[in-house]
Amino acid sequence: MGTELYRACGLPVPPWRTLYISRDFIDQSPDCWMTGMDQQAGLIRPSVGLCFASRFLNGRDARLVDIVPGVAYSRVRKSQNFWTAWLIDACSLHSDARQMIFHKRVDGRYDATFIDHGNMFGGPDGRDTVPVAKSWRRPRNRL
Amino acid sequence: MDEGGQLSFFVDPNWQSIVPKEDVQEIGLLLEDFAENARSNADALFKRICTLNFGYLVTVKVETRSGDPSAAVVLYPHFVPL
Repeated sequence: MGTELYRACGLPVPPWRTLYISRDFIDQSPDCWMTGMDQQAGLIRPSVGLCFASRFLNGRDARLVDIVPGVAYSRVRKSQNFWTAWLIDACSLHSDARQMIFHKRVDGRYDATFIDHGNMFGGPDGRDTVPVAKSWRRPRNRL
Repeated sequence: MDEGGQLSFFVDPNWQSIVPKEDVQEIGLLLEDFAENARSNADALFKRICTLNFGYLVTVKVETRSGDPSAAVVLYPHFVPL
């Protein structure tokens, strides 16, 4: 839902589909098991059923990075998208830091694609009320 | 990060000769950001750098050790504080 909201507002997001994940697939694909924030707790087994499947963003013609220095935000193209994203996150009670993937172009500038909307609308259980502005401190200071 | 929430960074003093030449500037700027944000927003920074998947810096392993946070210096004795 968050991805579609972003897309409807004209922001770049990866294409996605719903995908059925079977028990056999999960058992035979240990690479899809995830590590949670508590890495000591071991891998998390995905649930059987329909899931959100986001297209993998490859780097054939551009390098991908998931964090850039604060001063590099001035080299992000269409940086006004950050303000749109900030407004959406504020209105939707996004309770996690906004995540982006940056494509570094040959001219040294970046394109930002917005990912991971799993904590919008108050987080996974809908009860989080962390002020979204806290998550946006760095971009806001640099724009 | 110690139990009091103080975040410290230790780096290889020769890191500039280890990373690709074209990345030296961006990584240097990131390290400056880390040092600055460690003072003002340590919790968020620590959470973020535990999940770096690709790009200039990648998180290879996250490990928790109780006790003296400077134990990292024992593991990597030639590292210096950032």
